Amino acid sequence: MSDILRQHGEQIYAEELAELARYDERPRPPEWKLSPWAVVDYLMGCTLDNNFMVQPKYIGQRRLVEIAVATLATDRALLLYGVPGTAKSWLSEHLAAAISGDSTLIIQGTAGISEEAMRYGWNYARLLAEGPSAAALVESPMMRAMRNGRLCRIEELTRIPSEVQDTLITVLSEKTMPVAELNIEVQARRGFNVIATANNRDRGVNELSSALKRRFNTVILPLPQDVESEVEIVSQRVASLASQLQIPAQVAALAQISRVVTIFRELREGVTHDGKTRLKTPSGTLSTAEAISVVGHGMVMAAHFGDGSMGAADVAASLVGAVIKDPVQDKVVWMEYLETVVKERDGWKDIYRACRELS
Amino acid sequence: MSSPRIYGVRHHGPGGARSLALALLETPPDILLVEGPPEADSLVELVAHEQMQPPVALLVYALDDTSQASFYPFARFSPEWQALHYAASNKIPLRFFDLPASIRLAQREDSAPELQGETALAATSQGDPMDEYARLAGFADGESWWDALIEQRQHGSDLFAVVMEAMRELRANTAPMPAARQIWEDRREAAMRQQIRAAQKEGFQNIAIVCGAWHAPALENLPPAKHDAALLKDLPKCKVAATWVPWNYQRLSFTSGYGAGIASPGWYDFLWQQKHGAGDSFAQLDERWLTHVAHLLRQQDLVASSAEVIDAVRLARMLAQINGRGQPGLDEFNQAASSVLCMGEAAPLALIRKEMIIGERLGQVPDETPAAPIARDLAQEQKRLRLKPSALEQELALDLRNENDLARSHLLHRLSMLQVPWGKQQQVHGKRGSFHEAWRLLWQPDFALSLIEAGRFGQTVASAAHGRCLEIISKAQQLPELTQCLQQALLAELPDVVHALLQKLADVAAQSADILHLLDALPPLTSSLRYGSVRQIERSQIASIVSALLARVAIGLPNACVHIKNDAAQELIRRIDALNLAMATEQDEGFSATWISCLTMISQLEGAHPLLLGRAHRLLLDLQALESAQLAQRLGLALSHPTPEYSADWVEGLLAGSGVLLVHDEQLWALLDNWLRQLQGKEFIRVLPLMRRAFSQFTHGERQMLAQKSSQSSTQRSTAVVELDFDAERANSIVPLARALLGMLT
Repeated sequence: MSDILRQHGEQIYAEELAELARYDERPRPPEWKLSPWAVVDYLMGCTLDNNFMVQPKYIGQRRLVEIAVATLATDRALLLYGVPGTAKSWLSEHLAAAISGDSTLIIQGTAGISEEAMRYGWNYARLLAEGPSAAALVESPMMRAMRNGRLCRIEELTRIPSEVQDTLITVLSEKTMPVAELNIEVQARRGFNVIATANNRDRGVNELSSALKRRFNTVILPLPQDVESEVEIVSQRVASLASQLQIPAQVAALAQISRVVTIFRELREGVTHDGKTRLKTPSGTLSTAEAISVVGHGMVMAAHFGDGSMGAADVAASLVGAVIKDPVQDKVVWMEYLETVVKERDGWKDIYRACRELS
Repeated sequence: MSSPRIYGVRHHGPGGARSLALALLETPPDILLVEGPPEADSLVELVAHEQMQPPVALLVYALDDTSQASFYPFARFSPEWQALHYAASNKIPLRFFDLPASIRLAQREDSAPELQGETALAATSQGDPMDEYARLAGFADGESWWDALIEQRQHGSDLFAVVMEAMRELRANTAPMPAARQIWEDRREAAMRQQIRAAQKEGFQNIAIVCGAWHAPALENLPPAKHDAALLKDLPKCKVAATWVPWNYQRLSFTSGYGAGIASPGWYDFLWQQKHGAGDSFAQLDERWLTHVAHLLRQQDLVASSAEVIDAVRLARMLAQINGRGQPGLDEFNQAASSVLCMGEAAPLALIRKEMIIGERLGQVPDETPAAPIARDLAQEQKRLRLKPSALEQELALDLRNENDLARSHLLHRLSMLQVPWGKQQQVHGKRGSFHEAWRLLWQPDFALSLIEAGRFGQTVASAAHGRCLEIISKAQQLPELTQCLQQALLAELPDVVHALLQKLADVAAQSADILHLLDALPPLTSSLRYGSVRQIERSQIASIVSALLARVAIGLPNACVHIKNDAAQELIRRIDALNLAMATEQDEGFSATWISCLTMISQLEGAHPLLLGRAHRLLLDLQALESAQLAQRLGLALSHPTPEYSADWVEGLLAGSGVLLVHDEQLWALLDNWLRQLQGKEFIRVLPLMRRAFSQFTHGERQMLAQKSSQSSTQRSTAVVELDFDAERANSIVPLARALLGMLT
């Protein structure tokens, strides 16, 4: 077993990719390792003719994955949009792994990113010694992807300042990257494309310019469709979290997790799960990832300050903290939810009392 | 004599309509038999009238009860409309050959099947039987499969043979319907066969039959006539009338809750207009549709460049390929538009759906069309209630305890909901109780038109008012519209909408951030709980809404009380008082506990407007949730505030409405009195108008008592200082006379 903490998608699922390629007889776009159909199968899971099982990587609508794959087969770039914790980066990694066989050409978008990270930099020692030369050039992942006809991934596109974002326009429309200092250019080979991810809670921070926007096809990744699948995701992740952190508590009961998930979903969607009562929605995201951390925190509380099994009082503290992000507006939302929904619900008395005590 | 040609169609579909038009040209019939109520035969000639603009619907209704009605809608891309048009313009006879509406409508109570209950293509109990075929072909449902195969292509007249074959197969292999439903399907088909026989007997040579594809196989071979006659024997009938009414694409679609609808009339209309392209496809369909989408978005000032349209077309085609379809359909277009043109946002997509996929075309019928049933219903009501329409203005006083008057009031309220303001309600003068209404009646000629317009909501005044209410409910965004609608619905006695109304009210209230709206919504709700003619089920529903609303008010109101100006505070007080009154009359312990805790919170709120603080204290005192000693302490604190305006506002809030409090509570009186007296000249002048405003609301009697009290207290004060010197003996001498005058003789 490798001592690498986390391996890339194409390494973990190398066998699946090889099997899919073996049975894939449909036409492949230039430089693609698999045909679009096989890519969709790789992401959604399937059983091959020799009974080989391909694990599903993305749990959600097949249609979204089809649109994403179809986009990459045209010459437009793909923008995966969604709240945090909706598997954007995960999907982007596996798309790159399946299409290019390489998910490592990645640019992490940050507020402090410079143009060099998107285009190219210089090896200054060499630059000083030899003057500008191809050998002194330090290629960015983008340039390497263009040169080799691979997919380049940009994480958190909307965190990147607008002036740096704009360097993408030439790359996406002309498919070329000029190096003025050497009077050369790198023209993208077939197979090159860009997958960007962006967080739609960041909307307005560094809004994409319309010139850039129109070079992307947007696919919005939704939060899990129903309570059951979300509860399952949360309980799996919490179990692995507990063993990883070696929390000396029992893994939280499914009923408790399901309550937290229900609260999160109801507030997020602005309606109770029976569809009867409308609710205001708080300003926070309330993503699945946050539900996981609320339950995790509850387990730590139970382990160190409680009786070892997570109860309403253990969850309440981090639950209130997760919901109330804005001390005035969110508090109103939360209080209304407590008084009109939680209070009346059968078997929720404990959580109502625990939350009331805190607020 | 050739055997009849049977054209099995889907009720609305451009592919079928096109093929039918073609087939009729190729083999001209001498008579057309079309699925529909035979009672409407005489209306066919109006189809060629120049004012006739589809979408329109045939309306068939029972004469004695106009609420019993059926609609048969047609769009220009409906195969039936093509048949009607062919017959009307070529002057060949056309007969509707379904089971007569007189039988169908007479059976309504036994839950005879409605035409509306069918899917567009065929009728079974398991939903669309086409779904089976669609699943085999890899489509989501029968509708999109049929779209891709039939509607989105160009076919010749040979289409019908294929459809017939498919339906024969389906009919043989689909599980039977429930017996109650099956018998009606059998009767319908029997009636159709009888009509075919009749036409044959009359000597028509080329009979063309246009019917739902599902029925086509049943009309191929005619069994002995005796069998069909037995099926149709002795069925009860009622008198019916038929007319054309204007229709629109909105109502053709599923979204209006009309069963026999289609999902995308606007899309079909678009397909209907397309020109023939290579093979069986349309010329440049993808480009045209997506360009239309881009135009629509640009009209709304959204960015949609030609380059994006190109990319959207490419993406749609790529998606169709991945799905293994030859050409993109509406699904692919929508996904491409969403991803390329709309940045994945929902709002522009909803716009595309409303304006293009469903469409907004409105039909029109000729002036000669027979009168609408709603006018007939109104005439009957007017006769029943002895309330004649007159062009002269008349006064009408109604006593709602009287049954006839109550019904009149309901009728007038319903009509005004339908924008037929025949009666205008007047203020009732004098205190004659809540069971009196005064109206001024004036019948304007153009009401007839408004009435026809109202006919789209329903066939009787009551059902139209009901329909109109439902429309208001579905469109309303704000609480006040809904509370007003609720009051109207209660006045117009429309109990059936109350449930939907309350549901929407609860939804909107939950999302309303405007605390004033919430406050306004509560009093009418509680009063309807108390006085309204609501039924028991709704009563508990209202109670739960009131309690939810009150909880929201209790949470949100304190926030609304801080950092506001004087005017806003006055507004808020008016509403708080109204709500307080409502709570007092309702006398529900749960409600008043919540209300008191809300008021208590306001009364202790830092930064709340002093008017509101004073008011909250007063209401708490009245609700006996505050000791007068506590009040005195708070008043003392308020009066010690450095700015006298603050204190004056506090006092105004406390005293507003009634001064009895001051008359009886010595402690408060003394506090206030001391405060006023220690004010310096300038301060006193600043405070004076505020105090005057507070005191001006008191009744005359109260003010007199207060004046007396103030003079008393000043004399008391002076007695403490000055001893009056008077002759007790002389004073005593008038006592007997005074006693005698006061009737205190001993």
